[in-house]
Amino acid sequence: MNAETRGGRHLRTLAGIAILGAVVVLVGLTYGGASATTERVFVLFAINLVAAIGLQTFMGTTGVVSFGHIAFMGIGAYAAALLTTPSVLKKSSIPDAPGFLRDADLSFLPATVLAVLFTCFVGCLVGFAIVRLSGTSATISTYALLVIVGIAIINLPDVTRGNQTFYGIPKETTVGMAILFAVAAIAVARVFQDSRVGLLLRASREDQLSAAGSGVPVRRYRLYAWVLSIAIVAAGGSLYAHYVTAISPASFSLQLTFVVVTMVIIGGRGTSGAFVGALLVTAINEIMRQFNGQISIGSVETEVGSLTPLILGTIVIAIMVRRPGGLLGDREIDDVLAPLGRRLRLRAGKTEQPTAEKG
Amino acid sequence: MDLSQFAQQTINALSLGSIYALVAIGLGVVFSIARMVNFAHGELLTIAGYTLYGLFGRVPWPVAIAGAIAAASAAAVVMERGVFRRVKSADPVALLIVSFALSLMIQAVLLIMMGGTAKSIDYPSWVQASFTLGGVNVAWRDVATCVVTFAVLIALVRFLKQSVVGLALRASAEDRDVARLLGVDPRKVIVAAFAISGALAGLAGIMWFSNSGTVTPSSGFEPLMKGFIAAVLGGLGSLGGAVVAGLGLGILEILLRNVLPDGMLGLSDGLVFVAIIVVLLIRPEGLFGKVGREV
Repeated sequence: MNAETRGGRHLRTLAGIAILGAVVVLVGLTYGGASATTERVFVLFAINLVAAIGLQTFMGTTGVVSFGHIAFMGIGAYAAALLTTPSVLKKSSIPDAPGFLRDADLSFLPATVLAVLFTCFVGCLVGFAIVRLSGTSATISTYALLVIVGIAIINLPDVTRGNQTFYGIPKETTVGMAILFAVAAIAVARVFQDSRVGLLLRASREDQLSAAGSGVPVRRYRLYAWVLSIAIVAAGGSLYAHYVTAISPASFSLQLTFVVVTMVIIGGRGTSGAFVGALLVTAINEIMRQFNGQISIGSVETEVGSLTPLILGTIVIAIMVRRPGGLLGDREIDDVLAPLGRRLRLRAGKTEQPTAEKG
Repeated sequence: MDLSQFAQQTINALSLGSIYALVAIGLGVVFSIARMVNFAHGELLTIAGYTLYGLFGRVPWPVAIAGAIAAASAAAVVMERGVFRRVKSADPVALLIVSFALSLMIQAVLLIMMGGTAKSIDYPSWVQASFTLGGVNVAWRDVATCVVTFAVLIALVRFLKQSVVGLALRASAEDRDVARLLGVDPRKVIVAAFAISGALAGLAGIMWFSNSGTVTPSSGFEPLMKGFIAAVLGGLGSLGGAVVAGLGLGILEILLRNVLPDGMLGLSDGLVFVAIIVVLLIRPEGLFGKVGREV
């Protein structure tokens, strides 16, 4: 590959990040700041987005379905919450916790960084095992991780309050923070996806044997993707914890896993796919919330909460039937917009600048 | 633990393991033909449970049991014809996700139709009854579970080995394209696989719900997960593997429940899952799976 096309590739990466980032910033500043309701919807979208992009960083590049990432979202959430919750409060809520946790009074961002590092460390330990597996075996093992982490959180009551709610987390997640986290997640994920490692991983996703035969160290690269995706998801967990201010082991369940996996699957296999998926799922959830309690089926009054999986499920199946690769497939937002831009430039060239370059 | 307690727990473990094995075989039958893991298999157990809830007490119990098996089998065929067949992608991940979505949808529908509270199933009284044999208290349901599972296994093996449909199923599992060339209609084979899988799920559901005696919209999840794990541990599509892994999982679960001190009981499920990861690391294709087949 010569320097020129490589430069073009970098430009494409930048363009993709800029477009998605600009959308997040614009929507955040206009819609997110409009009212309390829109702020909540935007922040939830940003949390979903960070989680989906994190999961996509592993699933999209390796092709392995993971049911385990929400566990790391939980670890990140608990770790960050432990560091930011006021020590005065922790003296009564978790009196038996180790001193350095009980007396910690960190602010949001340093706590998030430490929580992400800790979660990466845990993720790295189990990652050595996970990346050795492929296909269904890997999926089962990630599900096992979800269960194991859930049980671990419940059985460490000195630190996590076990099954009880961990409360008193300061509310730090503002629209600005949500924008910051979302844009950072988009940038990190896209740069990794377009990097040499990301490209070789995607090659191994298509054909693991051929890639390995061509000298791609599949397991090592998968470990990179695994740890990076866990870092993003953990940051999303911290963002979530500092928005809802009270978390419990049930917050990071298979239900949430399904919702996030759905975003990733219906969107497509790239960063933009995760973006579209998070947008769609957040919108559907919100629309269902608006209808809350107003729908009856036949004579049975029903909470619409129970209709959400029905609608989400129908959409997932419809998309899988029509577009098995997700709405965007392997394309990114810049791939979608590029032909449009070319056409526009072409038209502009014909009318105003006859000598302009084509394409 | 004295000997009689040990014998009792062994029976418990075998009975629990039999149910896991039945679920695992049901998943395996569909997997070997359609190359998909059907996550909505658990809901087939739930459907059987609700059918029993509706039928027990109104019709003689053998009719109710036959009805539950028929309902689960019919539901499986409807799933295949209504949904899975329409997914054009051969990507196992796409089908896995679709079945996952279907599972949640069925749960939502059941929640709307039947409500979220547990419905108690009115099993005939002999199911809960027990007898004493040499100081060991044995529940009839455990005996029935083990015996029926064993009988069904033999019947299934004979069916696969000796009937024409069984031959077509085995041929398609071996090589779908060649089977097709030899005149096996792949669509009919898939429907047959789902029908069998559904019947096995119905049977497993009847036995599963006899333990708690109640059914809720989400109660198919736990047996599905355990059966799924048994299927993967045994090697997806391997009949013997599913049985060995299912029984093994049942024994491990009961063993941990008895061996762990009271304070660590909450950890027993965690330890089961750690064991699963370890087994998969040593044999990623499962205990009896074919080496080199990546799914």
